[in-house]
Amino acid sequence: MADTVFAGSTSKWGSWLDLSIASTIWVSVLILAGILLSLILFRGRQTERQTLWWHLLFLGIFPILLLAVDNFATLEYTKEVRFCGSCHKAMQSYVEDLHNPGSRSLAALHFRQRAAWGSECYACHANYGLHGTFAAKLTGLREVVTYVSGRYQLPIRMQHAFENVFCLKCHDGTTHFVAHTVHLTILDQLRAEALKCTFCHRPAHVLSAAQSTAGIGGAS
Amino acid sequence: MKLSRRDLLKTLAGAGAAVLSSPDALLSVPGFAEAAETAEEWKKSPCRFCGVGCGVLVGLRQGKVVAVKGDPEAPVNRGLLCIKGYSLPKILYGPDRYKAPLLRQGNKFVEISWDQALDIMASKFKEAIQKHGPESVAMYFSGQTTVFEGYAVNKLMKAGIGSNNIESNARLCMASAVTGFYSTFGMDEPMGCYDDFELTDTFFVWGSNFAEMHPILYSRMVERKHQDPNVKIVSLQTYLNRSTDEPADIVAVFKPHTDLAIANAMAHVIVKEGLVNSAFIERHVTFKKGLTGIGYGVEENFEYGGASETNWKTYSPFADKAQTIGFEEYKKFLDTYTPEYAEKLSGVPADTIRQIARLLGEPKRKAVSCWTMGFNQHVRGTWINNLAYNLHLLTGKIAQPGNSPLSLTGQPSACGTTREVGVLSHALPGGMFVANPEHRKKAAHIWNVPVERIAPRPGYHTMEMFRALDRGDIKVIWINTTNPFQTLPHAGRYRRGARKGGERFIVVSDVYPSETARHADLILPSAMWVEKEGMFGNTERRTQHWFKMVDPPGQAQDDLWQIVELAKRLDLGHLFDYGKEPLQRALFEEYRQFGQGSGKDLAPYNVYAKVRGGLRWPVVEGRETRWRYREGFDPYVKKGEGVRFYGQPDGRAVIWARPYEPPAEQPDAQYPFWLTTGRVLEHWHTGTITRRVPELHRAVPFAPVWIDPEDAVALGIKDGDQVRVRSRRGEITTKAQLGGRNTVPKGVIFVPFFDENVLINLVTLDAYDPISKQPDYKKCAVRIEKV
Repeated sequence: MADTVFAGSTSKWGSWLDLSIASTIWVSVLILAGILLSLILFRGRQTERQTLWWHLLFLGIFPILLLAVDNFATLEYTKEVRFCGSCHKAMQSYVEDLHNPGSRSLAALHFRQRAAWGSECYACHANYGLHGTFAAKLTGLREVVTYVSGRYQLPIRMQHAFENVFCLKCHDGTTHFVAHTVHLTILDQLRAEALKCTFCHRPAHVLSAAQSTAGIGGAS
Repeated sequence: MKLSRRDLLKTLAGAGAAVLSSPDALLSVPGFAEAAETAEEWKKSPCRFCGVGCGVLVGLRQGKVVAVKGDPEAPVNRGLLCIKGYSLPKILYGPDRYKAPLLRQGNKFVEISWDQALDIMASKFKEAIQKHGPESVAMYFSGQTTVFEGYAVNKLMKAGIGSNNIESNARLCMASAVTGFYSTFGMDEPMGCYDDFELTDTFFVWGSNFAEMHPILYSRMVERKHQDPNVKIVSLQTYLNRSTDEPADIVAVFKPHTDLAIANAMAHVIVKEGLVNSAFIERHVTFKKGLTGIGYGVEENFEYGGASETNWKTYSPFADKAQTIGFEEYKKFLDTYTPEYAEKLSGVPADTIRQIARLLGEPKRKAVSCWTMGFNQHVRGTWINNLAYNLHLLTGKIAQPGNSPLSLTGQPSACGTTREVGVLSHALPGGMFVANPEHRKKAAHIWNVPVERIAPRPGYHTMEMFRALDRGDIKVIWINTTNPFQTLPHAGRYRRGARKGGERFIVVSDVYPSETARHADLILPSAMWVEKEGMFGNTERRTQHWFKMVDPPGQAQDDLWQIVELAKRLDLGHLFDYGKEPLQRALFEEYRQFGQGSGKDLAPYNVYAKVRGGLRWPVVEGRETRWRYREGFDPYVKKGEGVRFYGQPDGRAVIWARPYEPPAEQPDAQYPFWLTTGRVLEHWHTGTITRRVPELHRAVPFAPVWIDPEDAVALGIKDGDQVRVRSRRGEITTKAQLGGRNTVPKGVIFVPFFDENVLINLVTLDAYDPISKQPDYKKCAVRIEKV
């Protein structure tokens, strides 16, 4: 977990994400209150020198702060399972799998163990680093547009093969990974994507038969 | 692995982008199909692949195998599996499974019915036996044959047809281990077990890339090392491979065949530096020497001077005209083998040899030695097995928790079927021999046939069997669960011999098209793994059972059914008439009588059917045996005896004075390179099964030739160039590989044998160990050139 600090991880006051959402609201309220007060207290005198600090605070510093916490909140909130699951129907059965305490799917195991503090969808499906984050967000935006405009065809298919890098960014080099020495033997093939992690480690998601037939997917 | 994490991530990211553009990758996009792969029920079985004997749980849904997982309760693998193990569900469902019997018509095969097929097969057998006698027919089975099948076909041949021409491909992989065990201990199979891996603190890996070939066992060794930094691993190899990687502490790369000199030099150091356990030697060891200059078996009908095999007394088994010598004479024999002498032959520095010997000899340390084909596929395979035991006997580090020489097996039931059931031309079930009149009597009694029915003369061993087929001495042969026309050394000769026509008739039972099936006259479609009931026995004497779980495809049939149907048509059906009792159970209960009371006791059928992970024989009074020959562990060793090697009449193991002798063929000016062959993790033997699993095929799509980068520069060869490998016997062409998982030293090349498009056995030499009759795939002379 060295590369990414997930906002779902907790601080003294609760999860960083919850904190940032709360801050967004409170700072917004604060700014609005400041502007209102300015209208009342400094009526007609807003351009005068004595009120500069007040305005700098409520129209300058606080909005910048708001931008920061809001950005953080939005960026991080959209990494959360609850966000992914809130989208179109296709995700519903995957989220049900995550919440199924008896499921042995990789997704459910990661979710149960809080592998990414509530951002498990994102953690396994986006590339690492900044460009991975932006690529994922862009794809997400595109999907929103596709969904709203209704320009999609059923069944919905995966865009591309799941890449080993999504697994290895966390697991490579860990004690368990190295202890199963087969991993070292096939590292070249894993690197070249000639062998998929999911060949042995599967299934990634378990959908009940009813879910998979009634859902949006279909046998691919 | 000297790759930093960041490097790895970088390459991974790049490779990930590249793979998207390849259409091949798109096929592997996992979709919703996984929904259907949720198993409805799970049943136990051993893995179908190597001799480690991992336990798996087989996930079934609607009459199909849809998943496997490592059995967390299996003591061998404790829930882990390797990549071949995970491919198990897919090996059953390749698109070109044989689904009906096929008869050759000219250059084509036509579908026929089972009745037609079996009638034709039986009539060919009958005709040959009538015209030329029972020695004109032969059976060639496998270390992947189940215990039931092996026992049935052995009984059919030896108690029915009256011919000892029955062999198993385990001759090509385990024969030298067997003769090593017999000549040293008088009894086959290891005294220790895998438990030693957690109890020892020093490992010696000899000529075995077991990181790739026995991956789960290797990970147990590495795990041990991680837990205790005091643990030392010594890896002696002829080239660098995954088993010389970290965490090996001492890596010694020696010139092919010089292990004989190194092992003797280690004994030299142990004796000279007083690391000998004198008390142990005095009580439990004798010293012997045997014949020397025993030849290489490249001639037809080769018989070495060791034994007239019809005379039990001299044959007694693999006695090699043994002469007892004293410790003093043995010491004198060792005088030649100074570490400096071994250095000159092997290229391993004398100090390294001393260091390794001291590690083994150090009284406070425990020692486990592991080896596989490097020792066994060796023209002096029996000798080098003996020499490894010498080291453990000299130091008394044997048959004790944490102290064990452990000969690893390659195939899942080379021990359980071939060795224990005796599916070999000289053997009878339960470790007995056809040449021994007492053994014949016991077998005839259990089989309920007249003792004259069992022929006293051993039949053709594998190499001679296929030479006899080439010569025309064998007319009809049934090849089952194995692929000799890809795996026999000097395969070109035997492939041509098989199609010489005349009265020759070749029956092949298999699941997928293979090089051997291509040479067949009749192809029978078989059931595999959990499509039939079976039992396997692994390296550490562990017997495991599984039930039939799914139906084979089309008309494919259990090999046991094929054997019984053939017997019926040869008027030998009574051999397998057990009334209403289930055939498998009846066969096993009958087979069990052979080992009862002779140190090879097996539990009743019902116990194996139930117990997850199997049991290690001898199973006496319901308890398995982890360490043989040691009081308190082995029920055959009486109170107060301490250690008793009860396979030998005097209860003493033998330290053999076995000299260094040169290999059958060595590099020269014309053929300047050593060729050594072997396997890769992803593919099983000839790849007929694993190459049909798309993921494994994609992982290692072809067999390259590994060449030393310096040699490559000298020959103008670049990585990926097409290269011709040529010997006095044949040639192949494939791509050069200059690095990756193997790194060969100067003057050596390595080619895996799984690829039917790179038939490296056209190039190899059919020289064998005259004692074990096991051919040497690890060394012959070749030249290489850029195409």
